[in-house]
Amino acid sequence: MSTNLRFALWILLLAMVGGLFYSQLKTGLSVETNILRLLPKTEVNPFAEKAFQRFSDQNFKKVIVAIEASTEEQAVNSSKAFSSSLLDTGLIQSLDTQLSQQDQEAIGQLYFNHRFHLLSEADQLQFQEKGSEPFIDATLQLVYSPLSSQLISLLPKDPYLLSYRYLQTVTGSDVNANTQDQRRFVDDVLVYRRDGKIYAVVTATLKASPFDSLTQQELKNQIQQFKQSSPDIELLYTGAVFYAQHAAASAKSEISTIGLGSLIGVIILLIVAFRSIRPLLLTLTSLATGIFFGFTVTHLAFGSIHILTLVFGASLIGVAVDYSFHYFASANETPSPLKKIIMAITLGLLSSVIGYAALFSTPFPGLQQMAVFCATGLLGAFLTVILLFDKAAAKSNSPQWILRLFHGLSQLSLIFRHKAFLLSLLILPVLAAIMLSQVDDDNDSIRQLQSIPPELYQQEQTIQQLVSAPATNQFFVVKGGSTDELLKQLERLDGSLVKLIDENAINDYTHLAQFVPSIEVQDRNYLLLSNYMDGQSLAPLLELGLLSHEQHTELVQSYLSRTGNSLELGDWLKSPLGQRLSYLWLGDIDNQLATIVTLHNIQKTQPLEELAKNHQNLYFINKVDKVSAMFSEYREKTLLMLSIAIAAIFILLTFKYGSKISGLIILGPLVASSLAIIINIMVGGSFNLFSTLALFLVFGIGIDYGLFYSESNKKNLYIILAIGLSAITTFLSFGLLSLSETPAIHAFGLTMLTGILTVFLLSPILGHHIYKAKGLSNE
Amino acid sequence: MKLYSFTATVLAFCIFLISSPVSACAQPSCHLKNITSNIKSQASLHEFTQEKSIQVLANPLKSSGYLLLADNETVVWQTTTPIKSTTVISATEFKQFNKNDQPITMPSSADTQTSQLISSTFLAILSGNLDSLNDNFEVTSLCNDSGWDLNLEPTNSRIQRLIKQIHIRGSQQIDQLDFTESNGDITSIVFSATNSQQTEKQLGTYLVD
Repeated sequence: MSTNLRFALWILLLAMVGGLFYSQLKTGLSVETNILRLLPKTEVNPFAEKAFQRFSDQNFKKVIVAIEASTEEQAVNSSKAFSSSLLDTGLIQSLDTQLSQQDQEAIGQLYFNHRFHLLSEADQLQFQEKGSEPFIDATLQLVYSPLSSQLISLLPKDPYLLSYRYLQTVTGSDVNANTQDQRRFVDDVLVYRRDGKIYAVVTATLKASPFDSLTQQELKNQIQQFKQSSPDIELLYTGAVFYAQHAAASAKSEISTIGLGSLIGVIILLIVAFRSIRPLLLTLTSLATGIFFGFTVTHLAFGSIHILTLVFGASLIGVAVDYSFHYFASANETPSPLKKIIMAITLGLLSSVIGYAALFSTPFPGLQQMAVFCATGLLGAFLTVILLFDKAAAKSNSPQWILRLFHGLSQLSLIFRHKAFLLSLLILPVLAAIMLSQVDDDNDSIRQLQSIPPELYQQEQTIQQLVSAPATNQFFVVKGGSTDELLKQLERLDGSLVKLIDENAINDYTHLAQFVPSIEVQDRNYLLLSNYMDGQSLAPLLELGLLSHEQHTELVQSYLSRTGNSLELGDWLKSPLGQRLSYLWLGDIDNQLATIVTLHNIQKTQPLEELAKNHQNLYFINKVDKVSAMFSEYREKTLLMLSIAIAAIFILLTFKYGSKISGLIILGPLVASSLAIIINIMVGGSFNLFSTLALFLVFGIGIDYGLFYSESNKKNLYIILAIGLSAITTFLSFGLLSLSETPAIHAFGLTMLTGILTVFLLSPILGHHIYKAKGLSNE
Repeated sequence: MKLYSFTATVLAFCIFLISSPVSACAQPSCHLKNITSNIKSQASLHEFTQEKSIQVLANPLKSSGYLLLADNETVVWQTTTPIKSTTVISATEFKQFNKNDQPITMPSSADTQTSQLISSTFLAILSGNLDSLNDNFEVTSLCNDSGWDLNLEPTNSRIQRLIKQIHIRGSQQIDQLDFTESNGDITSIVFSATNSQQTEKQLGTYLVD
């Protein structure tokens, strides 16, 4: 193919990708920072998966702030000041303070309207066992208390004070769930005492998603300002938004560190090694094209690009630059270097793409994105080298000292060229296998994907202990065709849930039927009350004049007219209490209705799983554990796949090079992988999925190095130069990657670093043997 | 419609009025210290009659009973007519018993904010923390030869929502307590010291549990 034709093809490709990029630019580019978008679907049932999504979207908007002060007054005043400053930002949808007077009255009115249908379980039992007398006694007790007239006005219409009693039961179960009496409201502010400290707690719901960078920034600023203006209080905070803010900020800084660091390294190397502006410009063009391809295709395929993909993708620079290095190293000796290197870099591209394909084959959207980004990025850089470079290339002229330096280095490693050394290296894979079989699965955790600053985690722990909020990653979802069907299911679950409390699996639970009983139960209550509306049941009140005969007649009429007037879930959800607890209601999902049962202080998940298994429309959502289990499973699968891939590559290579050279090519990455495993386990105590996935790339790149030797027909200084340069940039990229705060990326970087370093050190030795096997001289 | 039990609140009022001094005396001639020491030396057992005028009821509600002030800042308030009921209140407890002395399972209202505010404020006053009172009430006093009058007007908006005014009249001890609620209902309680050993013993049994 002529140079001009190739150049035209390159321009065409660039134009095509540019067109795609432009069309996405018009619809809007989006950088995703939500960690959940990286996670695989863990639920077999798509309904449960969607239910989790809906709940977590809502839950992620919660922000809890605790103000620690030395006196209650200070805590309360500071929290008031903080609340109002928070409201002033306009970021807050609502502050979950104590219900206001109006709110309480609205709830009271709602329950009053349905008083003949609502009885707590204890009151049902009391009516059945003891009749109306205990209720009359309670009424009289209240009436003759010095201050109780607010309730006295209820008597003519609700002589047993049923609405009041039911309200007390439901608000009690809401407010008092699972907390010791260390909390109370002081002037609208929730105050806790714990370990001799006083905390005022503010809970708020954000307007926007916690992944909205503007919200993150402004909230952070607000808190920073408040901290500065009130130095004598301690401000603790937790919420998805803070983790997201930290993750996004550290990702951004890592992208620039890794990207810029690699780029500067590449530029310096190019200037030093090729002493000309043209290789530099061409290489940068190749890298830019690669990143442009990677970004555009990934964004097109996934609709957005995750910020961690970009962190990971920044290391692409160090890999994609290899093609250019080979080109210009070869250009030292020949005016048409492409012919000499085309086979080697094509095989190199293939082996890297196979490595990334392994990432892609996992069911983790995050890894798939990274794989697509890197594979297409490499392709872009590769195509630029083969299509564009000949158009503008000139002979390069590497300085002798650098050639001698790399040559010297490779000679140095030849001290270890003895066969005995090579054979002794075979002990490493065995050692690695033994160590692998002994590491635990602890590190296959969802937390690998998020950098969690210790101080934020500490604050979360403190606040969690304080407020004893329901678990946000573990809960039940109940599915049903109608609201009443759902409520009935919840009521049927009560027995099993109470049993879970008795078994110490959980401390407490909350669901909607505790606030709105099913129609069946409400109708039963109504029927039960029909026995106690007569004059005899109400005799004491009639005798004392608390209820006149006219009022009694009206009461009976009112009771009779309310048949079928049960409290409906829809009305309750609109009430202030319903809005406060709206997270329990998921609404319509795939034409089915869903609600959740929140669980407090989960001790054992096994009985919860079992309960869900035994009920058809009940799902136990346990995202954290399930993701971790998947990570473990895929780590094992990945290792198996890697072994198979090694065998397959070996067989393929045998056809071309024979078994001896193939064995030598494979040996480098095999030993490197083994050493990476050993070092990772020694450093981190574990070897997780992400390290395993990095092994694919170690393998791909390791085989490249072997292939470059195998493909050269005579012993070549320029091969050593190209491999040396590419190894330096690879170290730089992945070394920087291993500094990432995100554990998964750190593990990946560390594995790459140790693996590639080993391959690099081994390659001259293996090259020496490859040359010998090919009958080439070693001098 | 307001659905609270304010029993605790008002009993807390009584405790405060009977056993605590009141600050901010408007007239220098009215010696608060005298009032305080008088009140402090009062008897521990009182008889009371209560009359409530309720807007929605045609006839006033009359009741009577006993009030025991125990040493450990605990009060037993027992209504004996027309129906016996007993309430025990302290800084940490609020217990009610029905006519058969069985504990009443009336759902607790201790978590509703306003009654919490009021009872905690007055229990704090009981333990000598007078600052809280100045926060929530404006106190004026009037003294004459036969005794003294205290007038309390709430300045706290939450208390204002419930109570318009409290008026206490006494000499050696509190003789009468009237309060007007914000909805116009008026409760008037008249106290007289008594020293029935038997009643004191009977009321004392509620402290044991």
